[in-house]
Amino acid sequence: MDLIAFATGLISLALIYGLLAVGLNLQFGFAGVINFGYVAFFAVGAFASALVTLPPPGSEAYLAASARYEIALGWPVWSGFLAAGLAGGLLALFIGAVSARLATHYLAVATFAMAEVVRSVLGNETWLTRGEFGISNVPQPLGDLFTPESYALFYLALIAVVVGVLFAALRHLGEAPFGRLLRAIKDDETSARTLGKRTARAKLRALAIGGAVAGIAGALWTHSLGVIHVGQFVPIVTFQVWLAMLLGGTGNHWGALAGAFALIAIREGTRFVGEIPGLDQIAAANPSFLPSLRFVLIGLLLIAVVRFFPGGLVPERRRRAPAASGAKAALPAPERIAPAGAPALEITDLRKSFGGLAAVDGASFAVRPGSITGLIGPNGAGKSTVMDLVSGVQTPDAGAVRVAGQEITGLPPEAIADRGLGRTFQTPRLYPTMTVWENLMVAGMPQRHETLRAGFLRAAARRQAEAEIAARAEAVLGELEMQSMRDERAETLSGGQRKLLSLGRLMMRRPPVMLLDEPAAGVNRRLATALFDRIAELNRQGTTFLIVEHEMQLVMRYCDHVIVMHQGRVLAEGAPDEIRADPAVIEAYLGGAVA
Amino acid sequence: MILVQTLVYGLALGGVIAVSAVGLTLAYGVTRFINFAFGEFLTLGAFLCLLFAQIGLGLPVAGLLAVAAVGVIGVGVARAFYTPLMNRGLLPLLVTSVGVAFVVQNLVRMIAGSNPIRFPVPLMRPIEIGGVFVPREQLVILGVALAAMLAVHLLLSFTMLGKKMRAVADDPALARVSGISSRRVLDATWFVSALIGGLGGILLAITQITLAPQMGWHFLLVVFAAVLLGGIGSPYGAMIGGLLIGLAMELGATYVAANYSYAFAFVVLIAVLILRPRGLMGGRG
Repeated sequence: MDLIAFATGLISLALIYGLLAVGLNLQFGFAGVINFGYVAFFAVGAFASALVTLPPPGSEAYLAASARYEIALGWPVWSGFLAAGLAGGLLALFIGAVSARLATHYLAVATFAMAEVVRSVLGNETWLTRGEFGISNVPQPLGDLFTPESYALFYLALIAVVVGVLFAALRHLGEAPFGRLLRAIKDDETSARTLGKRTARAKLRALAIGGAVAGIAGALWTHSLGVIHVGQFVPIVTFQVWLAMLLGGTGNHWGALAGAFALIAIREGTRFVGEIPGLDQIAAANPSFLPSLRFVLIGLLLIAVVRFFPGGLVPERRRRAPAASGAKAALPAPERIAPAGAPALEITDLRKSFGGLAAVDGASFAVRPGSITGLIGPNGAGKSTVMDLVSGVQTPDAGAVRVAGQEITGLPPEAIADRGLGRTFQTPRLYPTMTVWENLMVAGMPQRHETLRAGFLRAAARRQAEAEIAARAEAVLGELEMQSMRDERAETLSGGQRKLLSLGRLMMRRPPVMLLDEPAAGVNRRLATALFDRIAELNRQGTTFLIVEHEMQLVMRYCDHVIVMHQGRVLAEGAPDEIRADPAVIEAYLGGAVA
Repeated sequence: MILVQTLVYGLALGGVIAVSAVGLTLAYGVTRFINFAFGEFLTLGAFLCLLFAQIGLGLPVAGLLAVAAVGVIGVGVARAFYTPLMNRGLLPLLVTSVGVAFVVQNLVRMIAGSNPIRFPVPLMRPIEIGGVFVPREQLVILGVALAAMLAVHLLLSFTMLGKKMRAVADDPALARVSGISSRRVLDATWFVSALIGGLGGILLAITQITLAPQMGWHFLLVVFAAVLLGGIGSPYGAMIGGLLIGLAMELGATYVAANYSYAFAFVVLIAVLILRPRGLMGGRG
């Protein structure tokens, strides 16, 4: 019987930690948010549920327990669970909204700090929480119906149901377009933004769900213990959840759950260090000796797992695309951009300096709709910086950018992508841990199917969209002759294949204006020619191109118009033949003496 | 009257924070990760100083020995735990440093126990400045802190090592091809960072009078606030950030609510991060 009670307790704890690890996994393993303050959501959930369900001050039960807290509602336990989820989710929204603009490091520190602030508030506001003393009569749901022994089993069943339902929901979400978008954000957020993804919003959603899940875990925990005090929510809890998630392997929910069981097994195992002969005398002299030794062991384990098992216990499964249905959708024709008279893209007196170095120093040019315009110039001329300024990856110091006559200067990349501008990067920025097929699917999926609501509701519409985008992906794979690589991770592709895939991602969206940064660099000649043939074909269907390219033969053969940049300005522009003969251009390229 | 006293306390506390923040931010500049075990350098500095003082050394000698020892420990920790992970991205380093923090903190607790221990500061008569009595140790703290920051400034501006550190911080790859041995610069950086941390810990022990195994870990938050406030990776920003945070904490504790002096550090921090996401001095991302 004792053994059963012991096992019941451990499994309950492991399931609760498993739920925490799965919630953290959604935040980090999927969205890449480094949250070092996860315990705060657990804490507010636990307190919210306790205070909602405790007997209100003045009631008989309150007096019988000689309680001292000043606020409680005495509502049923299920409302406590809802309140816990709400409290965790709202806190996460608040923290996310404040720190959304922060880069990784700042976010890790800011979340860590906010958890300490939350703990300090919970500890200081004793009227609400009784601080370090805590509250000891947190109600146990349906506690009257069971003997204390059988209650533990009942509560384990309750935990299993709650955790099971939430686990299934989160797993479903991870497979939905929403989960795919989160993984893309983790792999390369900037690149996701240039594909028009509202990444801040998606990350905020992931944070909020993770927070709500942790809040519910807090409710499960506090009602099983019956006691709540602020000392339960110290930072090491956060890092035990991290340990569980890393033990299991990030990015997959089964791993996180398994990691939690491993963590609890190890943690309970360290209770036996006291049995080691010789330690008992030291422990008698210093009561904190054994507990500290256990934390030392857990710390060492954390270090060892990170160092020696980077993949965790349950390595992420190789993801496979669903079998191709054979359907190939015709790629959509690019939308026309109005008004017809304006240039497709126009920059006016654009400037950008890095420190004292003016990378772009008053450049102006226009790209005629329907053209393939080449942008050439020696290294350091400012070509790639112009690409970054136009696509919103960097903000210009001065000057204006217009797409089809509309000013887009200084807009964020996702807004510029929405105006019909797509780009590739000189070093392709794919989603390295995602497969070729997934890279295409993320690019093609419209935002309205990447919401939470679409993840659970409107299943028919989502499936239809998924099938439609998949058929389009099939068509793109065919055009790029990459069908055999559909389930390869993007990081395993060769340089040339990466270039092709980044063009393929744009083909999924078909923006009317595409900026390509050295699409043929590092690509073998046969493939490079094939790639430019593809570009010419897209151009015939109506796409306007601005292409940075060093390979002059390709530029001369495929471009209608060439712009030459030198030292941050436009040096010359015109038809390819004029440019080839221009003495100023030759001088810039060959260093003067030859002209 | 109270205001002057609060300002003196705030400046002294700010000096402690500023010194510690400089140590943390120096290591960040070269290694590009925030060392969550940095607080343990403070703890180790204070406890080693206490140990050396208990075997009969005078406080200044004990302090110097402790600070040097922490520097050596810092190099050892970095070589054993951080250097092997340098090419594996940010998260493994962050998590490992948390693990190191737990290990060190609990090792200290295993040996020294959990109870706060009194730090053997000799009793000094407060001095009177314009009718206000100012404890002499606060002035000593401020003086030592300013001297340490001056030393860091001289190190960075005028020594070869300091220039190499700045070069590696600006561009590690470029520094390597220019013939700077990043391994040796790394070792030196960790030594200096941990050493300054140890000094910060001793100063902290003097301000708090008692020392406890978790003192560095708790103080780490305040140090983070100063580092981020000044702009991460910027030593001069960290100095300013530290002084501002110290003043904010003392003023807040005196005039608003004493329980929340740590929280004030973060109110200031969060306000600044919202207004200037990269800190006052625009640090490295």
